[in-house]
Amino acid sequence: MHRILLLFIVISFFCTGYVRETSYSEPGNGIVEYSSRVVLEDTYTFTSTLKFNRVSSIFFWRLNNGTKVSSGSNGGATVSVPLDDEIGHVTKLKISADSIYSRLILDKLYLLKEKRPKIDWHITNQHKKIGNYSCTKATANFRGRSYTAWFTPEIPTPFGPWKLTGLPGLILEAYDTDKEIYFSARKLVLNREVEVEEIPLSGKEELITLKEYREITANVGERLAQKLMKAVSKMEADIKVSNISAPKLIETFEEKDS
Amino acid sequence: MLRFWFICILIMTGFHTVVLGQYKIIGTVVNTEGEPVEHANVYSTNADSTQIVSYDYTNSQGSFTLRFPKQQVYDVHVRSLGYEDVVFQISPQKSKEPQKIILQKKVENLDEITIEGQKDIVSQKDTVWFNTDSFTQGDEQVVEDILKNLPGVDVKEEGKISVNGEVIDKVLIEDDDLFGSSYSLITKNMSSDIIDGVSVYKNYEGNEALQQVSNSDETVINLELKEGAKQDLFATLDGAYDLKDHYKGKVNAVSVSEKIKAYYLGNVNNIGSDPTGNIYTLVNPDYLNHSKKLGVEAKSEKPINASTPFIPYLDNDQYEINQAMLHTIGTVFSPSEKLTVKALGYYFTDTQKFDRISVTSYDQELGLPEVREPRDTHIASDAFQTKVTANYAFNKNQNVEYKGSFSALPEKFNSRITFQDSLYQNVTKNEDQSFENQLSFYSSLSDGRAVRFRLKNKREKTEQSLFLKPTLSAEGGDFDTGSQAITQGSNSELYYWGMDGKYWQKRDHYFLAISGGLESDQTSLKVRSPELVELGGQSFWNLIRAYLKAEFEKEIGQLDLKVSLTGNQEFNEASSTINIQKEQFYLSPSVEVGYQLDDKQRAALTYKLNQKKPSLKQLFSGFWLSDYRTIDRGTETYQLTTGDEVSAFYQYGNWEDEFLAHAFIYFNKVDNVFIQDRQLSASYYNTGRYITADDFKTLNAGVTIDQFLDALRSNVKLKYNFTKNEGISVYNDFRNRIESVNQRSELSLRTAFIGSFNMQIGGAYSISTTQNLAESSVKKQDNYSGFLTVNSKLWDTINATAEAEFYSLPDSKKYTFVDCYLDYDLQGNSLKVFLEGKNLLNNTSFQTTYLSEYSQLRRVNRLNPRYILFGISYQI
Repeated sequence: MHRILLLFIVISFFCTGYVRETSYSEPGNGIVEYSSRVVLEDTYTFTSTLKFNRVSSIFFWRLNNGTKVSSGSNGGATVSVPLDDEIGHVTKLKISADSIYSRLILDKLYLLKEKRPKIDWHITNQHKKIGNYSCTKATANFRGRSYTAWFTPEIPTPFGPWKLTGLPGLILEAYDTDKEIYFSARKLVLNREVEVEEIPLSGKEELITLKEYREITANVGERLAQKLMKAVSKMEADIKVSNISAPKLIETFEEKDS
Repeated sequence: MLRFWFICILIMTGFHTVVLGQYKIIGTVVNTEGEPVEHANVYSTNADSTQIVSYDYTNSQGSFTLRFPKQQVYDVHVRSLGYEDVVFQISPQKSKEPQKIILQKKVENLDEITIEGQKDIVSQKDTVWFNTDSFTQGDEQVVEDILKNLPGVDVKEEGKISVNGEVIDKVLIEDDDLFGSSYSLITKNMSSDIIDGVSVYKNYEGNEALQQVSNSDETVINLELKEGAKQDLFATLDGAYDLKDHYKGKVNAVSVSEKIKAYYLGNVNNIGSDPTGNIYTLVNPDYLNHSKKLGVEAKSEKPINASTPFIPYLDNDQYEINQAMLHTIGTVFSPSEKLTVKALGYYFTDTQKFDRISVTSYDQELGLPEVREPRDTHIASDAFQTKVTANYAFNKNQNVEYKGSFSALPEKFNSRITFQDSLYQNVTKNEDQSFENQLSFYSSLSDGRAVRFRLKNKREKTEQSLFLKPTLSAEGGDFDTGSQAITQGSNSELYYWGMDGKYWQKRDHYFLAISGGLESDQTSLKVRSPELVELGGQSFWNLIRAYLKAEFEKEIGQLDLKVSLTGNQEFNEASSTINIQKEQFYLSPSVEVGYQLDDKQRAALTYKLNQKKPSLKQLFSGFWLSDYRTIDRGTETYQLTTGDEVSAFYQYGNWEDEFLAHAFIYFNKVDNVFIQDRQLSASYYNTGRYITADDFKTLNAGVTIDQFLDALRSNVKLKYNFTKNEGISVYNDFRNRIESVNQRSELSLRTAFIGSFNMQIGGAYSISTTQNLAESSVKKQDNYSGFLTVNSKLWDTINATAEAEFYSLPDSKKYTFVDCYLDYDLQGNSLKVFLEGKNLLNNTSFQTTYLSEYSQLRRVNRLNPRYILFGISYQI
């Protein structure tokens, strides 16, 4: 059933995408490269890319370190959990559909569809220059972290890196309080030729809803343990797996979060 | 029951209104063809600030809704890529009808705009932004160290900064003008680790009501703090010590919240470092200007000019033994959007010690013996100053501002001097106090017009006392009192008040300002000496001045013309001994013609007629001791000195280019000038007069070139300066034409601040000539110096710097100094240990030579011996 749904979504993506790209090949398209840092169990520094037109944006980020190793504390058995693949993490926002699609790499590949989250930004009266642009500071709590975003009303689009959107201007810098998540624009090109493509899919992605995603993130430690046990059992060795702690995640949910 | 539901609905409606805002406007955004513009960004700001209050994006029908918390006037901005921005004002209560906004398509092609966020220098209109990461190499300790590395920026030893040849008046922090002219407190004490970026603002106007109409030509520097430093409390602590009781400590604390920003800067050391740069210029920015000034620049005067000895080439910490402590607190408090209060206070206490021997040899024709004067001087000073600025903005267009300051500077100079084999003691005490108030009202009128009304007052008091023992043997002098001590007391007071008004009008191609005012300036000077009744006297001078000034600017194609004319009417009243004009009227004109050849080239030619008044001290009728072996007296004759001042300026390139050059020529001719009689006698001598000299000319020219080398990501800087002074000097009633020429060339290369190895290398060559044309005597000296700084960053945690300086000075004196710095990061940047070594080659003395018309002075200064400090730097 999931595959049929996925196929349907992919087809509808292409259809709407075709229509939109044709309609919106006009000033309003752009591409931003962000110097990025994500600190989970390890620190990843990489370049991420945001492409946008008037109605949609797509954000690509790949943790260049490739893989991260989680290991059981006994017996030395290791399981490689892919944190990245050739496509990487992708987030696509479609304003008209008021929805976000995210290609996720957790214990396996997922394609998450969710309603565009309403971030309750508090816009401050602090300003600074980033490149040539005057930026205004805004703050918000979003899925377990407190974010600061510097946006420029001079580029009147609501887009930004990852799921950080909804401000009256393009976000050029964003980070959480602990600077574990950090995006800083290094290059910006406004060019009508920039194309906002669809999320490239490998075909292995499992389509999930936000509710399912919340369950996955809540039990991700357990899922990794299961994966480890599965690997261990294949080794035919007398090894016990216990106390796999849940890895740090970029977003976490509380009851009130949607 | 119905009533219950009705109340529920009312409450719900009220709640909804409270949450979403009580007022709203709705509207539609369309293009010129009438088609809806989808996804346009519509946001509103308070009319008197840039605070975004509400925002929305248009839907597929181009519709939007903005909600407002209260009833007032808002600016509404409508922006969409590919269209011109639209801004209009709206009052939600009065604007209940749906708004229709029509966007015009942008003519310019946006397709290929590429902006690199990490450029080293970004220049936009009146702002130049420097990415400090590109100009630092790791051994910078305070803000000043970063500024010295920036292209086009020069920092003098006392802390004065100039940008592209122009002296700046302010350094802002996060756009707040808190320190004003006392900016050396920031640049010499704020840790470089806190700074994220540096901007230069040209044509800066701090008052919001004047921003659209002002013709300010002020240049200021703005410091951006790192995000990590803008929190409830961020602090850096630095401390260092060696085993010979040398120490230094520095504390920075920053606290930033929505309503209050507070800064504390503390410094304590005994290694000769002056955390104020120069306390005299800090308390009184106009300290070095001796001509009579009115208004806030007016000052009381004291007979004895006692100041800290200064040695060219060297830093304070190379020759000064001190114990200094500085506490500075600054805060910006914004209790509401309308009111901003800025307060700054500092307390500085310092004891300094200098040892030196001066040897003066006179021209042979004068037949005077060589004079040798060993002198050790102790200076103890305490300075306290507080400044408050409160600005209340009625709205974006009108505000009232109060500025007040109080300063006190008690000082004691104690010198032991050996003069012609006799030992003397000279103790001079100063008590300076100043209290100043200013209240201004600013209003921006419609059509680019604005007015300002201002009231000012100032009271300044200076008491000075001199104790001299034993008195000098007065070989040929008028005063010989054996070994009895001489004391001298003086009391100087200034009371000033003034009011003025100014009107601005700015149009597309011209600017007009008219100002007028009335001010009163009452000064008095009293000197007495119980032991020498011939000394002493008292004088006063009351001055009332009314003036009217017109300034006009007009652009004619690539030319811009600036003309200003001031009419002054003065009424004077003075002691009967002063021969003063009771009434006088004079005009002060100035003209500037600028020519903008293209985007990169600008030239300007300026002419000013300068009219300066003598100070009360220059008119004082009594005699006073002005040093331990001179007696002075004023001319008693008031005379306005007039002079012509012409300057030319040419600039090529701008900061973002790889080549920046500017050249200037300055010429000043003064028809008559008060010159203090040169004291040539090697004895206690009653000069008793000032003289008027004619035809005094100064020519100053210079070129500065900054070339950026891509391959090295580095700056090559070349500076050349030429100064020629010419004038009449009178000695024993003989008029001599004196001509002196100074030339200085500097070349420096700074490497890229990339990679693990960096260096700076540079050299300077100076040549000076002084000629007495009447005596046909020519004195000439030249010197050269060089420096090499090598910096290496090892394993990301160790930063090592070594600096060598070399001087070749007259009399075949050669000196080499080597300093070093090494730090090791223990926890990122939050904990460091460091070693700092000074004068590693252990030089003990430094000799400099000064030329004057009739004599040559050699001065040998004692230097601080070698020391190595071990220190810790910690960030909280």
